[in-house]
Amino acid sequence: MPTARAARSGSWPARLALLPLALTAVVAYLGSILWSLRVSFSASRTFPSDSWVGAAQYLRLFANERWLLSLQNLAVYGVLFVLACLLLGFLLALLIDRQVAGEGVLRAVFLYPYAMSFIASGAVWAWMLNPIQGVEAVGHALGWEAFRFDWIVDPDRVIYAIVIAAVWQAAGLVMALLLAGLRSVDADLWRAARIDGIPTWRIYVSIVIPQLGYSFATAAILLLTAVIKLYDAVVAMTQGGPGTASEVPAKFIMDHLYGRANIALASAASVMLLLTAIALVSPFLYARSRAAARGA
Amino acid sequence: MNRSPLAARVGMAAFLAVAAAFFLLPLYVMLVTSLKPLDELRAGALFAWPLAPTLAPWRTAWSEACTGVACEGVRAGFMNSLAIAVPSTLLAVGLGALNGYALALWRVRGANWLFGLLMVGAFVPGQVMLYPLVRALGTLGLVGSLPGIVLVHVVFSMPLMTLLFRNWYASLPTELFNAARIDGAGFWGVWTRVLLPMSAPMLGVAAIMQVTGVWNDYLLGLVFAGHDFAPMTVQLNNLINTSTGTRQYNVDMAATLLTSLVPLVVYFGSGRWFVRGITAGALKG
Amino acid sequence: MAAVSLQQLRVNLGGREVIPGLSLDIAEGEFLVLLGPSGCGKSTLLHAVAGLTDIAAGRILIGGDDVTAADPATRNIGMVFQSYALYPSMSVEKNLSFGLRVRRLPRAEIARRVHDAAALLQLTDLLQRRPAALSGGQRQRVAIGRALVRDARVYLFDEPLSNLDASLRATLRRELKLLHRRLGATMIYVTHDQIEAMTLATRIAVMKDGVLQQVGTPDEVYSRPANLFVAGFLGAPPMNFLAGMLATGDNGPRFVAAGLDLALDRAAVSRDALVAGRAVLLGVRPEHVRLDERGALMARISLAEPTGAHQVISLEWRGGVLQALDTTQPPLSEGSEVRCTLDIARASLFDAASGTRL
Repeated sequence: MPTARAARSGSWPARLALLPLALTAVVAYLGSILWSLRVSFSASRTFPSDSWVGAAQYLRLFANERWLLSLQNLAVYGVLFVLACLLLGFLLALLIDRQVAGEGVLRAVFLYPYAMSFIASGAVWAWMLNPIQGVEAVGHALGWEAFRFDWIVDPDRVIYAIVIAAVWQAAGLVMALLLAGLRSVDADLWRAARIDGIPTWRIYVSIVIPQLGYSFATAAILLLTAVIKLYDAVVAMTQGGPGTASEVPAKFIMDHLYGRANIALASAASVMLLLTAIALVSPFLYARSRAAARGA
Repeated sequence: MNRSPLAARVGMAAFLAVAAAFFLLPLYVMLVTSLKPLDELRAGALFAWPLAPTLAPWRTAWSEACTGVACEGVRAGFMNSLAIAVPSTLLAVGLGALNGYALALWRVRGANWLFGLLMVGAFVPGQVMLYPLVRALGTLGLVGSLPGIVLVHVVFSMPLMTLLFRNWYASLPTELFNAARIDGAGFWGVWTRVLLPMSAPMLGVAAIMQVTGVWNDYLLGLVFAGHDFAPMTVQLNNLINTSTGTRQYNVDMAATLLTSLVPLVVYFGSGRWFVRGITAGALKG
Repeated sequence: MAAVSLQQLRVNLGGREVIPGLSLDIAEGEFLVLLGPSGCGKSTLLHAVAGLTDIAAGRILIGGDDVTAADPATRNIGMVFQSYALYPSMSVEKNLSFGLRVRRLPRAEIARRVHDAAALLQLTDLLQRRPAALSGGQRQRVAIGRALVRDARVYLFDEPLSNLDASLRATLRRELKLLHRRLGATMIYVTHDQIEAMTLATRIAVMKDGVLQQVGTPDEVYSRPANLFVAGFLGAPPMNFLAGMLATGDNGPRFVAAGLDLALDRAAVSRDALVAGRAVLLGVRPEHVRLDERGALMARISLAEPTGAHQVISLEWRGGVLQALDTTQPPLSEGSEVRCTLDIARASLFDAASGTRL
């Protein structure tokens, strides 16, 4: 049956009620994005100026070693973080779904890190991963003298250390989303497949997992959004170090906005970050709307 | 569901146990480290139970540790975070409920456009909007003030809060809305007298999401709260990254636990509601 | 209470024309049932009357007032919904009085009306309960009561009984009929259930694809359906249709089909329409297929479906299958050969091309 919505006469209070939202969306979101865009084409340093330098800031940006390193770090981090979270989260969801006992406890255990701040989890992982008193030292104390686990101070591996902490924090989110997806699979499908004598693993592969498309896409969207915003955990764990080995774009922007007072370059970087976000997230948003249309 | 073969079940249980240990390990390490005196923080004793458990690190973290210039512990940060989180949550949840109601049940021209823009806002990295907002709030004299940081939190949480309530109100039977309209209730009457009293579950979920989100924020607090209202996360980061003197990891860990206390209590106290908030906000776009 | 007049009403939903221009006058005190299959636009029409759906063109008058652009709140209507739509956070009493409280009626007046409605609907003992603590039938009574306390000019019912089980539905149907008789109020009732339509209506309006097919008393609509759709939609088991041709015989017009040649002199059709050579469909209701030993039509019972009071039999003959009612005791058995006649006086003739009644 067609559902009726409002009649004309009622929409004035509704418009009034939506005014704060409209202001937020137009002024705060759209306005500040446009502002950043404009500034990125200027020669602004500490304060915004009206100058116009075309794409000069973007050329400088992509000649900047630190920015390029940030991008490279973000790419490595993003791929590893998203894949590891999806894989671990999926395994956990699957096993919890199969496991009869202890579901509530297990779910709480896997998800609690997501309730903590990145600063807090960064702090504890920095402590655990520091080679002098942390896990490496435990290995040595147990008599494994050759044990090396000093990624957090190794410029070539520090980004992996951040991945570990971030996966610990976010895998539970994927678990929760996929578990909800698994649970929404029609129980009659399970019964029908069992009566047809189909093995459990085959039910998962052929029937259940294809229905999780929407949940996977949702998880990917949330994880990628988090990748782009990666900042707090780096600050807490390494402050971008050792040296500049764990610099990331969001931190590059913050440093140039504040420490280095180069807001034009920072704005150019933030525009690039925005474009990256759109490029990464939109395919998944599209895939998800397709999955929703299919009813998956 | 099928019962799996014994070997498979043992394997699954073992994997889950190992995974649970991995997830619990940091919590355990935080706890034992925070209870150890400084001289027990020697190499190789990361996982060891404290020989002489002490609450001194907690006291230091709470009221003596140096967080930047001042050495008054994270106590001030706790009060600041509280002062920020309470109004931010009330305002954001209230506005989100109102927005969601208006968007889900009333036809307003341009509403789809508005909602689309809002969802873009959800994916935009905060850094893109940060400086323009600093300038704007600076003009209003709100940077470094409590109203300023609360306003920024409300602005940044608008997409999630609106989405939560839009989905919630859209899931209610339309006939209820129609019945109230025929009974003569207008835009505000339908919301305050019929729908809001039914919204307790979603109000709870949204409040949980918002409290944890605001409490765990670092970036906005760093930029907008200024020195006087620096939230706990900012103080914690100052504490653990202070370069002066020897690192007192036991104090660091006590401060970390103190900072995580509110969200963890909310999380463990609210049980499934937290999960519901995550899935409700994420699963329907 | 008041008369309702719909004039050239057009409704679009999501860019689709659901009702392409519909006019209907409902007299004061009438119980009009909008009947049709799901998706025919009957609920949309009701929502338009209520003001819950915007209309693209046309006018709606209630008691002579043009309410086309009026807010639902100001139309002074009462409405009962399929899902009851009771406010879950309010007690039965608060549910009943909500509309009155919104309109700021005096307290004593509210109490009196709630008391009266509760007494009328046997809800007095349930006033302090929440909707969640009520049974389906009780909930529906509260929904009806909520409409009644408003003392509205028109009462609208949107498939109010379809969520109830069969026996409860029959009980509430009777109660609704008595209620209408007692109040004499104007009621517009949407349903896809022909029994509800037949039992409740003073007039039935049959709809299909947003267009009124026929408006008339239950007897008119059942006995003299205006077209093939109405003929087929009302009646269970449905009307039998026989394709054939009109011809002229010695004693007047005849209906000729494969293996069948019937005189139409008793048919309730004007002679002018009975043009020889015209392709027609003869519609005969199952109860008008008479088992008759001297009947011209020979058939075999291919299927018998007992319903308790009687049985529905499928009669296989040269020209196809006819459904008939068998009320004999003991009932006839499957496979037996019977003869029967068709009651031409109560049959309907439809033009084969247009489907309209001759």
